[in-house]
Amino acid sequence: MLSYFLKRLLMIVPTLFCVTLTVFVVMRLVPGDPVLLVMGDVKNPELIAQMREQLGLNQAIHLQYIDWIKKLLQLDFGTSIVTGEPVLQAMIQRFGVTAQVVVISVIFAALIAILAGTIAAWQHNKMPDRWIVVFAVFCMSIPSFWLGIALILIFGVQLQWLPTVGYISPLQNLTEGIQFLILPIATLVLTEMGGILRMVRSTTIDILQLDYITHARAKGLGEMTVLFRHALKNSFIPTLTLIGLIMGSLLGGAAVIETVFTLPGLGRLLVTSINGRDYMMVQGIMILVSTTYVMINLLIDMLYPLFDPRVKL
Amino acid sequence: MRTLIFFAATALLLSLWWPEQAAQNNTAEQATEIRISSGVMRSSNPGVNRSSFSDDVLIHVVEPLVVHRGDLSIAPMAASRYDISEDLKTYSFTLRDDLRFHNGEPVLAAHVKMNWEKILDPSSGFQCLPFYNGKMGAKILSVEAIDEQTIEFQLDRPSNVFLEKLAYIQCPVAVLHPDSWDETGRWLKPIATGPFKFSEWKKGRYVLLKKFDAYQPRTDTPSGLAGKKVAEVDQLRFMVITDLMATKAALISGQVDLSGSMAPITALELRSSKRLSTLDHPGLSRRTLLMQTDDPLLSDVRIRQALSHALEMKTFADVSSLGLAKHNPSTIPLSSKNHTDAHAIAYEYNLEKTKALLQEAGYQGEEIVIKTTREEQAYFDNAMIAEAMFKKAGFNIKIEVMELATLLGNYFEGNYQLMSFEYSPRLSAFMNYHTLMGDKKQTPNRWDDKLAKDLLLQAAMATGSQQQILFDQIHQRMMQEVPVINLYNAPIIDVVSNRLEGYTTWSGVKPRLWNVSINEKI
Repeated sequence: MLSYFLKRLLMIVPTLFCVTLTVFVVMRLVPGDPVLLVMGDVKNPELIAQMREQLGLNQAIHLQYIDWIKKLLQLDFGTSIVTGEPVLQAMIQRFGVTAQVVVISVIFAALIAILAGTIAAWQHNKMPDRWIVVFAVFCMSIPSFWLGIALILIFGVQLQWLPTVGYISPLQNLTEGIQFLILPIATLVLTEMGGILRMVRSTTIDILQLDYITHARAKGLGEMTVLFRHALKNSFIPTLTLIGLIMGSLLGGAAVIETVFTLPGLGRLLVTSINGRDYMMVQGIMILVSTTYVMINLLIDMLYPLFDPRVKL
Repeated sequence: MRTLIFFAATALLLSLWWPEQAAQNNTAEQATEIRISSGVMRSSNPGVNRSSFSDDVLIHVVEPLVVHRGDLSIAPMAASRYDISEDLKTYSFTLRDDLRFHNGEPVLAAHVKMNWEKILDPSSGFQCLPFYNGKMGAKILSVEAIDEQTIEFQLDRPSNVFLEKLAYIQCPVAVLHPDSWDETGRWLKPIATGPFKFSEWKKGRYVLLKKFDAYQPRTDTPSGLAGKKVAEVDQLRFMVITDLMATKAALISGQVDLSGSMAPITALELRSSKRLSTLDHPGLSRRTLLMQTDDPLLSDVRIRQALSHALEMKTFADVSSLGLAKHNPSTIPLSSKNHTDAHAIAYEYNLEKTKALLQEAGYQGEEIVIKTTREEQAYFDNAMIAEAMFKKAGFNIKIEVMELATLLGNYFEGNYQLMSFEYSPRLSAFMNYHTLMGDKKQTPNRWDDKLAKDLLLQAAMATGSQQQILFDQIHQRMMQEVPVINLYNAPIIDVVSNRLEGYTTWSGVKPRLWNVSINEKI
């Protein structure tokens, strides 16, 4: 397992290299000079030249790339062109907020989906199954921004039970912090649950038709034991893969939810940085997002043997 | 067991939820607080890496020597008075006796001198340095502290617009304490003289300003950014809300008290809320159709004139501003005292003239592109209206929609034929023209016309009616040359919680939260 882990870790290097190159080139191809955008309408040629020199933008593009990579290898992500704050520090702060929302959401979505999906499979083609499938399709069909806005209007505007803008870290104030997280988490749980639920249902339906399940029932085991100890364990690996993919993509791309709920997360920082042509920040975030995605999927792969001992890494 | 853990975790979450507290969205402090829907502030250093949102915050924290009144005239602020020599080359300012920094220290002329030495240093990053180093008008030769209270500026040539530059809202030359920088010269935060002091900046979340208890307000009538300023609340929180829907929800639910400069249609929608009021005022920002006079097709003045005669100008203001604005053909805002009858001369809507000019210019149906964005509704609406009118007049016209940052990039690079655009407010007639004109080699989005530039140069040194005549002549020249088609000055519409008392809008756009209190009964 260790050699597999190390091999996979090594494979991250070419992936990240491709990411650095792609992000770097794409950012330079997008129209809009970051220095001019920062400077505004008062033309100050000396300051423009000074800023370009400070940011290394006066160099040839390949030299800029080499310079950036050299710094990256020393974990120096540079400073934001727009705000002047260190990119690494800004990313770590914002990543914490995103991770909080995404991890809690995915855990809740997975728990609910596993429970509902298993019940649906158990009650295959009966009324509970039909209702659960309808609910899953409904959840999958709703765009997250729409659901977020709907929840804001109901719980924030009409009922005024929950705040809709701002953020307080639960570490700073647990009670208030949780209040700020309820709506974004509820939105993500509902929109991400449907896919997991359908995966659990379909794999569990297949498993329930296998001989060892009939054998288990013939032994006189209770239905819950058959379902959750024998069937679910074997049907869980595809679901686990899906959960990993969802978590990986959300950790880098919950921008819509973060914007609607004004959460100071990584996704919103990425959008703001793209709009401001903040090269350093966008490049840094994309590296972080890619690394997170790859690492989460690696972690998920490492978990396979825990659920299915037949899997050898 | 897993189910048990799940239910235990859910129970924990629910036990921590307390609906009654939820809408407060606040810390446990009982301080009176006004919350403002804002955007991303780039820097707290006045005039350095500025953005419109930085300006919104900093007008409450810093006080320049002079500022604009509501009628756009100049008034002393950190200064108690100013004197100008007859040759318009020496400006002296006497500081207010009671002026204190946020750290309690008295303000001395030596501090102002130190501020100016920093600003005039090319490495300072001060964006408006060209205003003062001779690149754009008169150069400051020296800044001297004559005594503890008096500071004197010597210019290399006469200037009648020096005060307007000092009061320029985008680049306030604040009076700052030396502790605003660390010992290495790195910027920390503004320790200034305004009615609110800079307290906390949580990037991506909010900027918190707290009342400066030792502030001694002026005694003159509040007007614009001038006069008596009293911090009636304990703190101001400028919250980063970048989504319109989130702003609307926050306003309706009472989580924010103010959102400035809203689109008319949004304000109309919010007017139905019992919790909110909308306040509007004629604005100074200028919505325009920019023309690239270097473009092969548009370099022919007859084509530009033909375009100008194809537009029924009143429609733009009526449609885009829902009737809150009027057509203004001039670069000088309608509310300015410099907007004389000469500036009411507008392009005539005359399709016959358009056809005749196109024929004369040999227009063969070449495509003309209007660049715009959907991120600013008015930009898009104006482009759509213009497209329909140009098509009706026989132009082969096309709209190209792009994201705002790309549009701005195109603007700065002069990469457009026509562009639906808005100039942010300039509070003086001179600064409005100043933003429009320039050398195309350095600033390809400017109007590079020798005669007009000469007139503006003369206006910088002229006074009174002589200066007005020059402004009038520039307008005449602009009407002939058509480097830009001014449509209207965007109205300012602020949506305000009814619990705020004393809040007013003004043509300078920036929300002013001094002299504003909270009615706790509402």
